[in-house]
Amino acid sequence: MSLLWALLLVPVACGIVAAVLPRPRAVLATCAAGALAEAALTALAVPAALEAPVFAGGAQLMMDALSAYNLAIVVLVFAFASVYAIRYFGPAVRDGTFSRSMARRFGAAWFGFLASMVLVLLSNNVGLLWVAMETTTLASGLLVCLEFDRPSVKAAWTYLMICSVGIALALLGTFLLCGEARGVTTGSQSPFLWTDLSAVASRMQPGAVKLAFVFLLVGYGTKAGLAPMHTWLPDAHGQAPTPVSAVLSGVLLNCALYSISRFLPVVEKATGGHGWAFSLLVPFGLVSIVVAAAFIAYEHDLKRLLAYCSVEHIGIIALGLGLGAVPAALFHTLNHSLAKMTAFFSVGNLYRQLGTRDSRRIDGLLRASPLSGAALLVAVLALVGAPSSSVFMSELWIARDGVAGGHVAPVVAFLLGVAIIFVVLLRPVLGMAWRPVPEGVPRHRAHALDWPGLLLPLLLIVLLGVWMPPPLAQALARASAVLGGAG
Amino acid sequence: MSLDADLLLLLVIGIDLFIGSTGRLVARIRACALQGLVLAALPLAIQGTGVLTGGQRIAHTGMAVLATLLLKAVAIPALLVYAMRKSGVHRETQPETSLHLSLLMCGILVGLSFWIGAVMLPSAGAGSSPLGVPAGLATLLVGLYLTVTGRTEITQVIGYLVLENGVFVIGQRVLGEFPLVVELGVLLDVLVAVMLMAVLVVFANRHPEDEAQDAPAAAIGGRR
Amino acid sequence: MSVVIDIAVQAGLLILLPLPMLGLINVVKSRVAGRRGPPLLQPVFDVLRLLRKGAVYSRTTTWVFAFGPMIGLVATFLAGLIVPSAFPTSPFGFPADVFVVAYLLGLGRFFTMASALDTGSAFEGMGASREAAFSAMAEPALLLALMILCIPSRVPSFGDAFSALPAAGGLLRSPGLMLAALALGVVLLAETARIPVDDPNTHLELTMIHEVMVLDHSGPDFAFIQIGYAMKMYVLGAVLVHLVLPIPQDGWAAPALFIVGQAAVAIEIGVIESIMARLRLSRVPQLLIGACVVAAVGVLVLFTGGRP
Repeated sequence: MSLLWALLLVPVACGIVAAVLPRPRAVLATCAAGALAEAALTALAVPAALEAPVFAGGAQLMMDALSAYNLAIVVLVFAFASVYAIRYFGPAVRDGTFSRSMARRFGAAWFGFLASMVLVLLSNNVGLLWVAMETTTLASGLLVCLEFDRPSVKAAWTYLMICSVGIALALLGTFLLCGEARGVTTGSQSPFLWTDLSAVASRMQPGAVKLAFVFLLVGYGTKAGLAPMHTWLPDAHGQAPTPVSAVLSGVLLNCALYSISRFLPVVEKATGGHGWAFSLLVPFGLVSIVVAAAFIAYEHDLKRLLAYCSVEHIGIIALGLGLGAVPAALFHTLNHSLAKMTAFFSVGNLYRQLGTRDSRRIDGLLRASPLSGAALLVAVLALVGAPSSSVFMSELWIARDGVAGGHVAPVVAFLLGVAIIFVVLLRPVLGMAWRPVPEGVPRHRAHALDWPGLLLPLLLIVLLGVWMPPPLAQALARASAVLGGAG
Repeated sequence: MSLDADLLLLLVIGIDLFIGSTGRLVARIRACALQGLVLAALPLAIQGTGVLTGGQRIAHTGMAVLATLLLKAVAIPALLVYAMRKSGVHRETQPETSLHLSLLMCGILVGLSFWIGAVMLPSAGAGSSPLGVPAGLATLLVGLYLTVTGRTEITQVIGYLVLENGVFVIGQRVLGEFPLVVELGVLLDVLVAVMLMAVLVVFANRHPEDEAQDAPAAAIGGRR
Repeated sequence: MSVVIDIAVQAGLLILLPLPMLGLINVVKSRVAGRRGPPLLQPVFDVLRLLRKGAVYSRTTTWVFAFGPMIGLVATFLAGLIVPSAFPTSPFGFPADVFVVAYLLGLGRFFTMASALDTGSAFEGMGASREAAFSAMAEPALLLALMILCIPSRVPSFGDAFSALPAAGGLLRSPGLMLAALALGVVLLAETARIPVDDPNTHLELTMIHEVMVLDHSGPDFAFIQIGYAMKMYVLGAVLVHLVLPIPQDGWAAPALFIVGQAAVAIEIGVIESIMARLRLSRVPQLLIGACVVAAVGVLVLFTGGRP
């Protein structure tokens, strides 16, 4: 059996197991074990895929460098989040609020989410890609309203509604593109397979392909949280349980952006390679950065702050793709996922400990909770692009490639936006960190299990900020070659 | 053959207009079910020029028709009716726009889609109905309109379904036929989405005193 | 010679057919309800009785009140002469007569409303205002439906339009024409004040429209109104009949087919009245807007469909 099938079947099997296990603790353990197994499988599968595309299931499944790279990020974040979930739900398990039915719901949806994201990345069939993308919405929608209280149900409703409607437009785009391809495919070629699509792309009519891409961009862009289609994002990310927020923010958005980028080379070939499709991403990226900056300045809920920050970073990645800085944008994807995940983890810890996520009501963070507080501070420093973090490096890289490509004005706007966010995002966090500790707040001692989840990603971020490992550099180059981007 | 397709597509447009003109949720859901029925019949009327032939083709079309029929004309409307009864919301009480205006808007949207269909997507395919793209676009736009202006959750779900129907009509027109895995996958996703939405609708409209019990269990098969 | 016959048939049908149509509706309604009902020619007897009576005029009324019914009748009569009846072409038809017919009907309606206002009664004013509001919505539907009718021949004249219909494949081959027939049907019900828009059997009820306008007319004036009303139904019915039935250009089959068609229109109205209740007044605009939208879609279908 091919590794690709294994990658799909492991989460499905784990999901089924998790849905019937009797005890919440066992479900959480299954989550962690399943995610780690998936990570191990990925580690086995990725090296081969980076060399040459791997196919399975009659070419319906394919893993090339781009999907391998994204898959690695997905399973990395999932593994961390699954382990973190054990700690996060621990108190709720003990006092019984994390009941059996809730645990089963969580386990099934968690693995359904993982399986659908893996399918998004492995699908060579663009129709199947859409199906998987919609499935991620459903599974994660169930995760957002896991606690079924009023705010989370409302958030899940908004999320489901906006994303389902948005993604229906992407389905229309898919149909239009495949309908156009149907006229030019020959013999055994299928208009739905991405490999065949890119093979015949140069024979398609540019007008029809452009129309299809606009629908695809708006549709999947909604899911990616690109402004102005981002309105569901703060609610969903803010109301979801923290491990879910980390996964939503850390990898789901990437997957949606991946779906858009899959179509970039096809559209480019069909429209004559003038960079039309890439240039369409630039305004969306810039608007996302600006909108995020505006909202961050007036937001006090820490999780919603981080959610808007995700809008910003997705904007940066889209901008990077649009400016032709493809390897830099892919690198930024990894950095953002690591930093955002850590930031969510530490906010989750703080919330559990202090009972609030309001940045105005938290004081003396570094003293009251040294580990989580420091991790949050460092993660936010990385997110705003402080030097010597890898986020700084990738942003610099995007700016450099952008200027080298002659796009000075967008780069200036991008740097301005990032500078504003540097101030408005850091301000509340610094305040929380350095304000004096109020009387009577006990110093929180971190559990031993808290350490690796917070420290490892941060170490990785700092390490990547100063040294680019050659295998990673090679993976980035191979992945961007799929998109046709220059190095 | 082509006449049947024309009539079916006209019926699709007519149902759009009807949904736009009524405030009763039951009527809207029934109309939605009827639209699902028409959609199921559409592959029988439009003869695609796909690669499949003979028995394989019949099996394929049969599966697609049956699945659409079961899900779009039976299962999903039944779910919606259930959610409506359970949530106790029976009509669009305070619509964003008056029903006259909404009917007029739907009419304008239909006109717009004919225009877009003529300008942007010239009907090139032979043998299939020239109404395919305008009817699909009209359905899509009306669905979007319902989702945006609907005050009740049920209306928004109906809007989503209508939009999805529109996408399918256009897809049918440009593709002739879908690969079975894609068609069934999409249908299944829509079904699950509506199921999830139905649970959320029921929960969102629950009375505060029920809040204590396990919410999804109550929504799915609880008391009352 | 044949012109004389044409004119005789056209005018004869116009004079003889409308009132019995009204009677037929009542017969159908009675039969559906299980009653024997009035004789078929009861409306004719009613009109003859009214013509023998004298009229009462209020001191507040002016010449508008006295002339309103007459002008209404004459305008409808002229429209009836222009719209083809027995044969697809009318001896009085001319290019662009479609618009003339539409506005002759409008003229008649205007004077009916004016004479209602002339009484100075708040009650009749209310009826006139409703009539004005609803006809403002019915008129676009009528014009759009007539436009669909004229698209196959590209000439806005009834004669050419009806003659071109068989070449276009007739009703069953064209979805656009079906929509036109649908819209025209709704307009017919609205313009002739039938259920579900208005109820001709109610008097002195706050929700009625047409009847309330003509309350103060008596004697011959009221007879004119009744005749004009029946003729309006006949005129709109004639358009509908030609749209639906393939009536031959000449021969004795044509008038027979036409009369059968008109009878079918009357029976259909009767059946609709028997099985439906009148719509709430606030829902009526929706029906009329719906008719407009349906007709507009029909126009679009004919233009994009390429298959008139």
